[in-house]
Amino acid sequence: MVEFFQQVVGGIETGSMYALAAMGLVLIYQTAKIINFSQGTLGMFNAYVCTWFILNLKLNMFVAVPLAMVFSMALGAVIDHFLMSRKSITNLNREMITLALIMIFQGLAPMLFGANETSFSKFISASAMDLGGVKVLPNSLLIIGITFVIMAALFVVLEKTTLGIAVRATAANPETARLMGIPVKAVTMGAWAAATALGCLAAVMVAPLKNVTVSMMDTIHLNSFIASVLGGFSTFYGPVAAAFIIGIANNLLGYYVSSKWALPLLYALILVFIVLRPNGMFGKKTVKKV
Amino acid sequence: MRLVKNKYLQYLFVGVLFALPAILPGVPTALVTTSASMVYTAIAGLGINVLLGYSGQISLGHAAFMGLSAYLSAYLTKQMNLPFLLALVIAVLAPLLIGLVLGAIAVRLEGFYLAIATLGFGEILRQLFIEMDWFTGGFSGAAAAYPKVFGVQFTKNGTYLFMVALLVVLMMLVYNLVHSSTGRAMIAMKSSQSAAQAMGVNIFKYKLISFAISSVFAGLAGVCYVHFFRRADPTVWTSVLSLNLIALVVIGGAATVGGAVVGAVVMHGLPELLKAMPVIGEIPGVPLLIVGFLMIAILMFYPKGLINIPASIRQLAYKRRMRAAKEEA
Repeated sequence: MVEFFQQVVGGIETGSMYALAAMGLVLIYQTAKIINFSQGTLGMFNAYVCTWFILNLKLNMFVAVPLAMVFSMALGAVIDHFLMSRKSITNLNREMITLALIMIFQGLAPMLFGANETSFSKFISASAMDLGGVKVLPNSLLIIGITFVIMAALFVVLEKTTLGIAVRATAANPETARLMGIPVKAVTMGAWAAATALGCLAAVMVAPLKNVTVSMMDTIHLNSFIASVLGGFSTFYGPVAAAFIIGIANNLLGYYVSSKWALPLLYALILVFIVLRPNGMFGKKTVKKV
Repeated sequence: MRLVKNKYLQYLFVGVLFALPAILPGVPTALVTTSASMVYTAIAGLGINVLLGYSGQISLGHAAFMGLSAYLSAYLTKQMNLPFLLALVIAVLAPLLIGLVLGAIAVRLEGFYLAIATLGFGEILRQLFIEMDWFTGGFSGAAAAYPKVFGVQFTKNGTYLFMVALLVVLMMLVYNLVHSSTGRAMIAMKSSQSAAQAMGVNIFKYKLISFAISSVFAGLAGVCYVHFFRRADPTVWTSVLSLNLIALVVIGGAATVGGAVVGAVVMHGLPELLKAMPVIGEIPGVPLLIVGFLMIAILMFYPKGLINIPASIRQLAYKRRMRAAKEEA
């Protein structure tokens, strides 16, 4: 039983990273109606930027990470303003621009920061605590804590504030929202900025485990996609819940079934689930008009 | 003039151009290798163009399909001693079957589900390529020989010419396809799914057909790769290759038959040119960067793609002439 909880805690930790990235995906999908395929790559690039802040500017970690997030917000806003907002581009082409961004930032990262792997220290390096037999690193608790605080803050903003109403109105119908006086352009730009910052945070959290490399975000990126599919792209909370489910299920399958086949098995299960419920766990069917 | 406009002859001409490095004496073999890279990516790109250019679906897993066929063909010819053509057919059927199952699930849903399903599937396949070393040779890779067709053993140049011939045939097939009712249905689907559906186009069927075709083409490209380069290892079949396939279709010209060929030439030709340059050739990641920027530039300012530049110039000249004629009158 202790092992079970050990795996669950580990799953919640990785699930946190998936949840942050998935939240970013859904924010952009809801407001701009496109899938941002470059989410993971941008996170990777921003983790490099953060590492640069720490190594070259000799900044403290707790200064460097927020600074990197500010940088990534600016990057997201710039991408939205210069690449996404032209009216003549179709949504399919916008998605392909995000694919091109993957290539650009995967090319830029080794060019600017060197091709070597860089290690990245944990926020808290204290050794594991013993909670009734379950060993938990303080750093893991911090990761889970930060994620829950950010999620809670986002939900409060989305549900309780005027800004949240603007975001939800844009998500429901951008045309009508604009007629109601909502600055749709600013909302999508804000969504891009927030999403890129969330991706940066997820990358910084995974960096101590995998080092800072070009491929560091691949798993998180993929799992955040799967989480968004499983939870349903049409809600804000579905993907976040699904992210934790995937994180925990992956760990449990790996421990009880086979570590090699855990991920393929999980994807197969999710695929079956999608066949039965095409809009995800919490999704609603959206009807498009011609 | 009519002969020049005949599409089949144009494709044959493209084939002859590609065949030149293998036929002319004294051409360095490195050029044949580069051209072979162009040809196999062009074959896969043709398939992606049917999927992306004509029916507007993104796939991020076609590199894995290529890899699957490549390993299968290598395994069947080397370990099982099957004749090349039989191995080729089996190796291409595998991605077709998987493509049909995967497509049947993802294609029923909204557009981006296919991209995500193929992304996940590609990642799983790539991990399997590394794990199943009895089949793929793991990290060290699988070896294959130059193909032997009806008792004739191909050389390097012979294999290359076989690939070129295949490309020409496939171009003709795609041309016929997009000018058939299937092709028109796909084009209708791309501009508006709901409108196409209202006109009686079975969306599910045509999306699945285009996905199946692109899987087959990817499989053929994989078989060509493994028998020309005579080896395949898991570092080839990454998501970067899938991205490159999409990029070359966009750069060359989406929804055109020749677009994938133009894109493949640019994609493999440009890095070779850059490598020859003094300073730029040394920096890692430059080709990736340039392809990315080129792709964004095309998508934003000239979505028709490089292949349509001559047509656009002609159109401009025609307009100018008409204006001049009007002013005179």
